[in-house]
Amino acid sequence: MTIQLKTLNEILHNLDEKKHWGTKEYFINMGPQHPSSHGVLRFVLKLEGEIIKEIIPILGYIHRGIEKIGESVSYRNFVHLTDRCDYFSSIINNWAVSRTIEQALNMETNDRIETIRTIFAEIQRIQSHTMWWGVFGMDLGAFTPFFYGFRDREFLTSIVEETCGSRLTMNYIQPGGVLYDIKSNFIKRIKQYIKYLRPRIEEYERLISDNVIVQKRTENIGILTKEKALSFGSTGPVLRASGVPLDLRKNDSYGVYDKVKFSVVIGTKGDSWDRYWIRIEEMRQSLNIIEQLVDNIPAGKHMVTKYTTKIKLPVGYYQSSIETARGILGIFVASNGMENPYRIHMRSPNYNNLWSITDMAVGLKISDLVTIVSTLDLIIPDVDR
Amino acid sequence: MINYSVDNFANLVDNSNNSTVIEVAFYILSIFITCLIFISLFVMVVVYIERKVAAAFQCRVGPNRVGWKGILQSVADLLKLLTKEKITPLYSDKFLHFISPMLCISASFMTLLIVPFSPHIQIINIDMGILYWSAISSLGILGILLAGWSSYNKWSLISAVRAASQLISYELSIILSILTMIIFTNTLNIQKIVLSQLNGCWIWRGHVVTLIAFIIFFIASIAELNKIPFDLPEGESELGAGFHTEYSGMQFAFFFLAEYVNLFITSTIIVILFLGGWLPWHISGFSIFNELMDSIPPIMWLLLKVSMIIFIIMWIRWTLPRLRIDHLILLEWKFLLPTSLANMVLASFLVLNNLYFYV
Amino acid sequence: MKEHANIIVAPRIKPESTIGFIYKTVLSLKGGLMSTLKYFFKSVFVSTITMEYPENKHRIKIADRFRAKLVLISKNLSSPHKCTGCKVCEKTCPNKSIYIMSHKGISQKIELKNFIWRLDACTFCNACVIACPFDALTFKNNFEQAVYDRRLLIYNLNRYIGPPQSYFKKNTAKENSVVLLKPYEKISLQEILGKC
Repeated sequence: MTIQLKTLNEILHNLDEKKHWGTKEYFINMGPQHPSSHGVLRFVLKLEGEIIKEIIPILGYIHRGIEKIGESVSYRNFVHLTDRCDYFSSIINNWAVSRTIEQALNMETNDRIETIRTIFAEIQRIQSHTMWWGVFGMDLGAFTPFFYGFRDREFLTSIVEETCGSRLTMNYIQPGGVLYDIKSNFIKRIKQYIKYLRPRIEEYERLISDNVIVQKRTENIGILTKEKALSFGSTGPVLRASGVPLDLRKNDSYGVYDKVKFSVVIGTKGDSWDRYWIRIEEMRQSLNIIEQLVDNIPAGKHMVTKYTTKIKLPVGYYQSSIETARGILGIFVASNGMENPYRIHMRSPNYNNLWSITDMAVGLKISDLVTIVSTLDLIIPDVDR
Repeated sequence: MINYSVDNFANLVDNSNNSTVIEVAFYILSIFITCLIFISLFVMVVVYIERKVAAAFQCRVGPNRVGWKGILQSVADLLKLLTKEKITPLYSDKFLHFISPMLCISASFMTLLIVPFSPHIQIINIDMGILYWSAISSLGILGILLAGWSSYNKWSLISAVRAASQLISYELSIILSILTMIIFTNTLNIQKIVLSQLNGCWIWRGHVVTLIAFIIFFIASIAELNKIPFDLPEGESELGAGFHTEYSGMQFAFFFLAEYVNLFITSTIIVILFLGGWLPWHISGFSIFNELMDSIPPIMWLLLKVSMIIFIIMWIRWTLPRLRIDHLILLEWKFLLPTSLANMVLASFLVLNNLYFYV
Repeated sequence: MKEHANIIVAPRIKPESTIGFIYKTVLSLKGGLMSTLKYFFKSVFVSTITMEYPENKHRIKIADRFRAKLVLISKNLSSPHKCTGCKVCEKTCPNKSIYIMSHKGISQKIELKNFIWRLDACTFCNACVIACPFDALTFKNNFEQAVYDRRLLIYNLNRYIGPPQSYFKKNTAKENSVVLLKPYEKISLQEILGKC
C-alpha cells in the first residue's frame, strides 16, 4: 500500500480560505526547542481545538554531514563518527560498520571477540532502555522516574568506562576486534549489576506500568497496523509491537546470538502500551543474555589484525545491518578500491520510525502526540545524521 | 494592629461612627503590610522546602550552595526575579497583560484575611468565612484566563482554555464538599467550625460521609492548585510554561507567589474542616498527655497539620504522571460530582437521625 | 521470516467494572506512592546518590583508561620519551588534531622537535595511541582541563628535544653527556592553525 506524505508548502497552498480563517482550524509550531526534548525535532501541527488534523515533521536542525565526512576519512576512522549518531547506545553503531567491513574483507574474528561484542551490545541496549523509561515518565508528567532511570544507567556507564575508556562515545568495536581487552573486575561488577537490576525492573512496573493514569493514556493510542508499519519501513520495537516478529538477532544472527536462549517480544495491537511493554520485557531478555554469556568468555586475542594495517575494500557494493535498541541500522558502502570509501550510507532506524507519526497521531490530542513520540523512542541526531 | 479577640469586626464598626477615614485607611494599610511580609517569608520557606523534598524523592541533594545548606537560595531567586527585564510581546493586549498577575495575587491575598492561626490570631472573623473563601478564590481563574489570552501566543491560549475548563469544573466538587461539612457543623463561621470539633475531628466523627468528603475535597483541591496529576495548564513537558510563558520578572513572581499562597490556604481549609484546625490532639482519659499537648501553642498545631497536608500534596506531585484533559473533565463530571451529591444527601440523612459520633 | 521458538506476547490490560476499576486505581497509586516514599526516607536518613563534586576530589576514582589528556610517556617532561617523529599518528588522526614538527637531530636520524596537540579539535577516539608503532602516547585521566582562553587549549606535549629512549638503550654511556634541553621555540599560532 502506498503512503502519501505532504510537505508544508503543499498544505499551505491548498488551504480552504473560509475554513482556515474561521478560528476552527489553526497551525501551530511545536518547535525545535522542546521541553520534552528527544533532540531538535520540529512539528507543524494543524489543529482543530485540541484535535490534530495533520502533522508535518521538519527535520535537518542537527544535520552534521556524517556521511559526507565519511568520504574523506579512512574506514577505521569512520567508526568513531558513528558513535555520534545514536549516542544512547553507541557501541552498537560501531558494530554495524565493523560488521560490514569484516564481511567485505572476509575477515574471521575469534569467539572471544564476538562474545565481548555481544555482551557490550546488550549492556548498551539496557542502558538505552532504562534511559528511555525515565524520559517516558518525564514526558507523561512524572518527574521522578527520570532520575531513577538515569541512576540505573549510570552504574552501567561506570562499568563501561572502566573497560572502554569513555562514557558516551566509545569507539570500541573496530573492524578486526575490540579496542581494549576487558578489565579483570568487569565480570564481578556485571554480575552485581544483574542482581541489582532485576528488582529494579519490578519497581519500574509498580511505578509506571501498573499506574492507572499511564494505562489510560497509552492504551489504544497511536495504533500502527501491521501493513502500515511494514510500508513505513519501521523496525525494532515499533514493528514488533504491531505483531511482526522481526528481530535481526534471531533472523540474521551475528555475534554469538545463535548460541544463547532468549525470546523475541511482540505485541498484538500496535498501540503505545504494546511499545512500552515490549521495551520493559526486552530489558529482562538482555539481562538473561548477559547472564548466560558472562561466565564463559573464551580465551583469545582481543584484536585479530593490527590497527595500523590499511583497510582497502575491493571495488563493489557491500551492505549489512544490525539490530540496535531502536531498530535496524544498516550500513551501505560503495568502494572504488581506495583508502577512503566512495560513498557510505547509514540507514537509520529512527528516520523510518519517525514518519509513522504522520499516520498515527491524526485525530488524537496534543497530549497523545507527546506520548506517541515518546514511545517511538526517537533520537533526532540519528534521523538527521 | 491585629486585634486579639475572636470577633474583632464588631469592634471596628462600632455604632458611634467615630472611626475616621484616616483610621480605617491606616488599618487597611497595616493589614496589607502584614500580609505582604507573611507571604514573602512563608513562600520563601515553602519554595526551599519543596525543592529539598523533591530532591529527596529523586535521590539527589537539592540546593546546597547558597548559604548554609542552601537556605538563601530563595532569597537569591527573589533578587533575580526582581531585577529581570520586563518584556511584553508586541501585539499583546497591554492592559490585560498588565493586570492579570495582579488579579491572581490579589485573590490569594484576600483569602489570607480569614485564616485562623489561633483563637486570638485572625485578621477578620466574618460570619460567612468559608463562603467568602470559595467566592474569592474563583478570582484567580480569571487571572489565568486573561494571562493566556493577552499573551498573543497560541500555546498560552491553549493552556489558558484548558485551565479555565479544569478550574471551573473542580469548583463544583469543592463547594459540594464544603456544603457537606456545613451540614454537620451548622455554621459558616470559621472559628466556630474549629470549636465544634472539641470532641473530635470531623473526619472520624462523621464516619463514611466525611471520609468521602475529605477524599473528594483533596482531589479537587489538587486540581484547583494546578499541581500534577492535574497540571495541564502549566504542562511542562508539552507546552513549555503554559499561561505564564510571556511573563518575566516580577509578574512571573506574582503568579508563582499566588500558587504557593493558594497551596497554603487550601491546606488550611482542609485542616480546618476535617482535621480540627488549631485544636491540639487529645486522647480522652490521659489527662497528663492532654495537658502536655495543650502546652504547645495552637498556632504550632495548625502549622504542623498544614505541613502534613502540604507534604502529602508534594508527595503526590512528584510521583504520579499527569492526566489528559478529557480524563480530567470526565473524572470530575462523571465520578466526583455524582459522588459528592450522593454524599450530601447521605450527610443530611445522618445529621437528621443523629447517626454520627459525639452528637 | 523464520518461525521462532520463543516468542513472548505483550499482555493487554483487562477491562474492569467500575468497582474493580476503583479498587485497581487505589492499589496501583498506593504502590507507586510507596516506592517513592521508600526512596525519600533513604535519601534523608542514609544518603543520596549525588557525588558532590569539588568536595569529593580526594575520594573520587576515575577509571585509568578514561581519555582526558594526551601525554608522551616519559619520566617527566624533561627526560627522553619514545617518540621518533615518524608522523603515523598525524596521518591516523581523523580530524587533524596532531601536528608534528621534526628535524634531523644529534643521532643523525629524524627526531621530534615539537608535538602539537589540539584539545579543542580532538575527539578522543584513541586512534593515535593505538597506531603509534613505538607506544609513545597514552591518555591520562585528569579530566579538569577547562581554561579561560581558547588558545590555551593547543598543547605542546614535549619539552625535551632530542633522541628517543631507544637511542639511549644502545648508547648508554652518552646519556650523561648528551643532555639536550632547548628552551621553547616560539611557534606562531597562524602556522599551526594553517596546518591542522
